[in-house]
Amino acid sequence: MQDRIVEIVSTAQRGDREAQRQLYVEYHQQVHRLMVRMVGVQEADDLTQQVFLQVFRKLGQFTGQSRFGTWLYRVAINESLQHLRRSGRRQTRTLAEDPADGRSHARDKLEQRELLDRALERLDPELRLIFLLRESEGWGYREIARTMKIPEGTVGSRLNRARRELRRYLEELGWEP
Amino acid sequence: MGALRLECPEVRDRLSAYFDGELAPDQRSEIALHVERCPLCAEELRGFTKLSELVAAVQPDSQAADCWSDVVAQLERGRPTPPPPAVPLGRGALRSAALAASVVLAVIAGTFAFQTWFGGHRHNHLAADLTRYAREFAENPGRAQRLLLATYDGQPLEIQQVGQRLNYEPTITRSVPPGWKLKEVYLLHMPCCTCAQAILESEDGRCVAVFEHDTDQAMWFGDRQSIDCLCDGKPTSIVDMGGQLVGSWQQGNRTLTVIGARDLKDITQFVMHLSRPANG
Repeated sequence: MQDRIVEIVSTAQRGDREAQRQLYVEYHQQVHRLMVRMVGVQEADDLTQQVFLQVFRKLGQFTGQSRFGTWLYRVAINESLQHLRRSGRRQTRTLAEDPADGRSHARDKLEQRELLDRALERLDPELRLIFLLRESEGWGYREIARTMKIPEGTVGSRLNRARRELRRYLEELGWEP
Repeated sequence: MGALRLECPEVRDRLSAYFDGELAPDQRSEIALHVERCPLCAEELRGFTKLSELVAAVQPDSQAADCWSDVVAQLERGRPTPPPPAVPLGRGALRSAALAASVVLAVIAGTFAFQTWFGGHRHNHLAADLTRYAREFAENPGRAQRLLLATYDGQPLEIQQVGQRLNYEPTITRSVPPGWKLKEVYLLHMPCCTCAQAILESEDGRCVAVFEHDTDQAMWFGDRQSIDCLCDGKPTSIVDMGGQLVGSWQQGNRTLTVIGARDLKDITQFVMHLSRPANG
């Protein structure tokens, strides 16, 4: 699998559109899934497109020292964090919008998916990202550390924080673990 | 029940690593023993498990749209592109013009080409990019802005930084018209020049983009149909773009361009405010 990707990347770096298309087909659903969780469904298509524009524009800078997927995710992560920094206010929904009449009502009204999305929305973007890379994408700590450019030991401590905060936000929205 | 060798804080520091199977076997055994006997740590671990189950149960069900053709279109910007078709000026805009007391229509042109400061393909690219930006801005300002920033290596800056980077203080960073607030400021590395861009938001949530560039001619929209008029006595070129107006005028040796105006009244407000002596 990796050999095949290496070969496709090498061809794509020479400007071959078909090879670039193969990379797009290979990765765009994964990137999109992460973007949905990072920025929401409405923005995910645009941001996924933006990620691939950057990927192909910067493809010449990929040296092969890391796996292509790791490099691509790094581009995706940077794009999503930049997006959230630019539009931070719009991304933040507060509990003021929630029903104020108790947890059980809130839970009745919000599907589990929405509960999770809303709780994730409140989480600091970098914590959100680490949590999603681990829980949604199934990445190991080493891979997360390389991609996020942080020490491996920091991944665990940030995941602790992400999980505790997320649980608290979920419970405030009516989730009962 | 014997005493636990690890204290709760030590266990909790490593609880995610334990949960995710990232610990060495000996450390894992120690934590397992603690969790087995400590209800508080066991409860925290149970919470991690439930969170994980929740994420697994509600994976996003939306499929990515296939945007490959859009990606390719963007990537191929480097190739010569024909100027976009002209769009006739909207009647609504003209009605607004008639109502704007401070606007005097001086010349109405059938097809006026905005002057270009460089010819050939580079002009076409820039004109096509900015036409796309202006049209997109009318529909989705956030998306338009993202694409523009990616295309021209846009950098968000603090207001103070913009002047330092440009060697002049952009007019729009000194003061904004009443009812508007300055939301974001960027530096764009365009083929023509390095340009300051500000995003302003009105009290009712509308956005406009104001560009300031230090070259002497406005040219950004190719051979598009335009109106040359006087806004607050200042010669201003107006282009209708997707139902919104773009206005461009000279200010000293620089050019100001407003994208996203609702009508000529909007543009006149910007021209009046930004042309006041206090604003340069």
